[in-house]
Amino acid sequence: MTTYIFKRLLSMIPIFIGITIISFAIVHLAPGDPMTVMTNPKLRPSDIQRIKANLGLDQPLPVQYYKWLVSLVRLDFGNSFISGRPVSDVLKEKVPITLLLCSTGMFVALAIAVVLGILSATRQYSKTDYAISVFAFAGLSVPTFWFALMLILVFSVHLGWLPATGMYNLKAAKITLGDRISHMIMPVIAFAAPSIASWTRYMRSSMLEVIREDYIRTARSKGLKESVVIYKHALRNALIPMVTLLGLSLAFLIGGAFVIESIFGWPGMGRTGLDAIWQRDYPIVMAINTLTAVLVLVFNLLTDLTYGFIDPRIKYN
Amino acid sequence: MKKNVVILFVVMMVLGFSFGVLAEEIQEGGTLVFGEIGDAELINPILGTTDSAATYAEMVYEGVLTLDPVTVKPIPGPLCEKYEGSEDNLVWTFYLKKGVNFSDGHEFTAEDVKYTFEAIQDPNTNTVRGYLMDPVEGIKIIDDYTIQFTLKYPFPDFLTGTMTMEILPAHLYAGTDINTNPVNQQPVGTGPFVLTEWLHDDHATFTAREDYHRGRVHLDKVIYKIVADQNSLLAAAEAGDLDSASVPPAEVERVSKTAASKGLKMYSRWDFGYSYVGFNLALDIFKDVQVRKALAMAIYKPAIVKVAYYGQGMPATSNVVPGIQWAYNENIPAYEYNVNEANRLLDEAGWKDTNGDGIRDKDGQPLSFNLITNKGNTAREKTIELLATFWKKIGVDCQIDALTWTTFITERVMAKKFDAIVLGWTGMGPDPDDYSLFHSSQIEDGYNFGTYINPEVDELLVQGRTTMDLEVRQPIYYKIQELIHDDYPSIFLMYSKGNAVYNENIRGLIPSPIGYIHDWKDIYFVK
Amino acid sequence: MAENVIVNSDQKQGLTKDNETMLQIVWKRLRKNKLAVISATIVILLYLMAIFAPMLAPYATDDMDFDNLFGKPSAQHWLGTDSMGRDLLTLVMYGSRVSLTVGLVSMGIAITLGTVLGAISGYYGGIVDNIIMRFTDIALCFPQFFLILTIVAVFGNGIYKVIVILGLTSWMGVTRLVRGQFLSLKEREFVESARALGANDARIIFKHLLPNSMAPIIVAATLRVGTTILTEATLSFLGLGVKQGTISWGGLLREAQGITVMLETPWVAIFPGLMIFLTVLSFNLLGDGLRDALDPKLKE
Repeated sequence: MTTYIFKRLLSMIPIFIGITIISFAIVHLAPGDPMTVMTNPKLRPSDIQRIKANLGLDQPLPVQYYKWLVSLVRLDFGNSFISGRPVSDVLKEKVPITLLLCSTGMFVALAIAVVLGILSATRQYSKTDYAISVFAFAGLSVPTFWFALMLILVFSVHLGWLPATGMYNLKAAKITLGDRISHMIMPVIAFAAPSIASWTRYMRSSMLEVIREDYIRTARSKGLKESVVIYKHALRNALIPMVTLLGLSLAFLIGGAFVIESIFGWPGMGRTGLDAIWQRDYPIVMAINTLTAVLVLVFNLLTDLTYGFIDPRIKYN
Repeated sequence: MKKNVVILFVVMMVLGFSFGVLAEEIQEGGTLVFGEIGDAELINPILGTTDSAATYAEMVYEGVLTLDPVTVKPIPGPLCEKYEGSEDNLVWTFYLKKGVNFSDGHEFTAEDVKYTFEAIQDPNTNTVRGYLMDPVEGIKIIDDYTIQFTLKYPFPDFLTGTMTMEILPAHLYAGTDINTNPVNQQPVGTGPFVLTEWLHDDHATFTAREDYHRGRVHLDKVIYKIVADQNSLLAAAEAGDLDSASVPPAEVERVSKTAASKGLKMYSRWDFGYSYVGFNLALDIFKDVQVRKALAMAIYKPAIVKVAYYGQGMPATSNVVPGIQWAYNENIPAYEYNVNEANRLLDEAGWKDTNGDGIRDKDGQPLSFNLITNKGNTAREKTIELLATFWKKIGVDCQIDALTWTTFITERVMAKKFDAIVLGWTGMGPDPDDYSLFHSSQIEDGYNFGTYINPEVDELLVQGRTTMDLEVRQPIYYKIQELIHDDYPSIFLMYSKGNAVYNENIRGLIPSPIGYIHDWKDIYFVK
Repeated sequence: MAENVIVNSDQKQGLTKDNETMLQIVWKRLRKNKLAVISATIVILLYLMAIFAPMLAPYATDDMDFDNLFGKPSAQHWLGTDSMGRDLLTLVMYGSRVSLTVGLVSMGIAITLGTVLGAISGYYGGIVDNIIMRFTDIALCFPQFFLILTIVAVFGNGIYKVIVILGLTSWMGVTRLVRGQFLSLKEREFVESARALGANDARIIFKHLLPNSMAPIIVAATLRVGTTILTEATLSFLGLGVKQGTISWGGLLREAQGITVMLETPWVAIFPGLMIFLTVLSFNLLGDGLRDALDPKLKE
């Protein structure tokens, strides 16, 4: 087991280097430069050239990459071009917010998908199954940004039930849990929708496969109650492939979180990243690309390990 | 009977009115929650580049001079008792207020003023405001409360631009790297508020100072909440989560109808902005003024105002915004919309559709060019689509594209790699000096992107910016506007109008070209 | 996955004739799935609409009626008019061209790239396999959408760039799929016997391995079109998709961001959104139908 983890960690090193090269190359191979500050006709372009030199943007690319990589290993992502703040400080504020959205969203999506998947599979070809399938396909086919706007329109603008933006109400003297939750409902639903849809499909087929297995037939023939058969025997085995699915979905999910954060005004990595893209704040864009990629890498390792943990048939060697 | 009703009505009106006045009682305290689109990265008036950075800086820092919200002329600010200039307008003396403390208790003196302006000049400072110090020859401290600036030449924008800069605390900045000084994140100013909480990209809370040198303001706190975009800002204000929001043109008509029912009041103001079409005059097709004039005449400006700006604007006529009342030349003729005349001008200039493809040509060259603008500004995106449609009608082929701001500015506009652009200027006041836009020396290091050269305009621009007397300056700027109008280096499309809603219980707002809130001492809630 | 089909072709050896029968079986199965048939019909109709848009559209795309901005759906304008007084039906018809082109061509790039890499990786194995799979791992680690945004913002937009970028960032799944297929197929008897008969690598790959891997690739390709259309719509919605002036469904939806539009003139927001939804749904249902039809386990 330990050797396996060690081997896996070792194999992650070239992947990590590759990630940093791609993150660096994309922003630096682009034409143009990050100076976007011109809004007033009285500014001098020569000032902009001077600032560029101060930021070290006039050095050759390999030198810039090497410097960046060396400081990266020390967890120093450099300073933001726009604010001068250390990027690691910025990330310390943003990452927990994005993780909150992602983890809550994944949890909600998984819970709903498992329930719907079981319902669908146990009542195969019934009206319930049909309705859930239609719902799942609709969820997969609706543009997320559009769905989010519709939620705001209906629940904030028309009904006034839920706040349209932010993470909590700043007007309130004290932030209550209820307030936090009410600010999370729409972002989490919008975030989870595509995952609910696709995971329901996976859960359904995974469950259908398990139900056909011999040991379930045996359990049934033993006269066990149907609910015991489904929830005790079938569910556990049907859930195993879902773990891998979670691992593979993370990169996609974080991408989705970026759009959701923007629409609902959550100050997470996504909003910061989008702003940084528009402003060409290279250190932040590179840090976010690198960090999320590393996050996915680690998460995949964890799911692989969990996979072995919950499925006794898997042996590491 | 009818008469009684009228009397009753009048009595009720009078009663209501007096109660209304009685009800206008100042409520001490209260928290204002505003929204900002995009957070400031730092709070430093010299380094800040975003709108929110300027907004935050105004909460904690103060300038020596400030602008009168109505006349937009310079007046002594909170840090200044009075100021005077020499006969030749070259030596300016500022008498500073005594007994002013920064929020850390340190006393404000002339040293702080000197440091701030020298920091702007320092080449190691990452500021884009170096131009403010161009005319300044020297700064001399007379005593702790008197400071003297000597200019190389008279410069009107010295008072309105340079001296309105907010003052930094020298005791915390001097001898440090201003770009990374932690005070940029935790500002210490002389202003009415201190920053008490700042979660980047979420909110910034400013709390009233008990020891503010002009006496504590009425409000307790002002919170700026960061929202994703214009729509979430307005939606939050309409839901009552925010006390204010700017209203984009598309929403004005609806919001003006529903604001009152949501406890909001709508305010409008003309800002110091306009949008225009700029030509690259170095290109052969645009060298002929007839062509530029024809293109101008083919544009139906009211449609642009209506479609792209939802009527929230006014067709523009000149390079000076009407908000600068003394300098705006009302007699500049509006570009007349006349397709027939435009066609005639092009025919006369030798552009005819000889091959029958619907596009005019001359010496085998089609009358075809690219028109670009920046992406994300839907009004400008619509404007270029409209322009292409207008010009198609006079046989001109116009290819449009919208590029991200950086690409647009750094790779195309500044590099002069464009045929024609749609761009806008904001903050074109309070001085009408357009030296950096139209003077021929500004082609290399300036904003004369279209390479416009007119020696007469050059001379007048220099005259205008080195004269302080408004009576002398007025005819100069009138003439500049006439000359630029006749040369068509740009087609001025629209002067922009701003709209905003505020909580109806807020008082002290004055809509003006420079904003709504001018002095926090004036702002309070009514009960 | 496609075991029975494989064994089938292995036994009969005659590929052309065999494919016909396979196609017939698939078609027979697909025909029973009403949803899939409807979806296929819609997809065909959408492509016809896109191709013949200039003939079908009632107006020209630059026909602007400044006195009828945000016009309600009426006899003249079935779907109403947009903020510039243009006929929305016309715009929706022309907009289909972008979505359908981007969807199809990007999918083509992604599938080709994914298949080539997966085939090389799975067939040759060893160090080549290792390099390709590590590179795939790296690419899979990036949040695809943020990566695309970065690239588009940095290199500029436009339909061709979007097509290429979407294609170049979504091949990884197919690579893994094809590699898996090749790994399991290449050990089978019919490949062994082909090799024994002296067939070279190219022949084995193109005549034996690839045709037998087609079923999952076709399904993946169909589903890919839907995903790509959604991504393009999101990009255009953010203003980072096709060029200004190019009419696309996502671009038309930018209008829908305004509260007033949603409240007072919702048709501007509804119809383009509905078209995206309908199109993606059709591709997804078709892909699902194909999956069932191509799955040998579900015998008639």
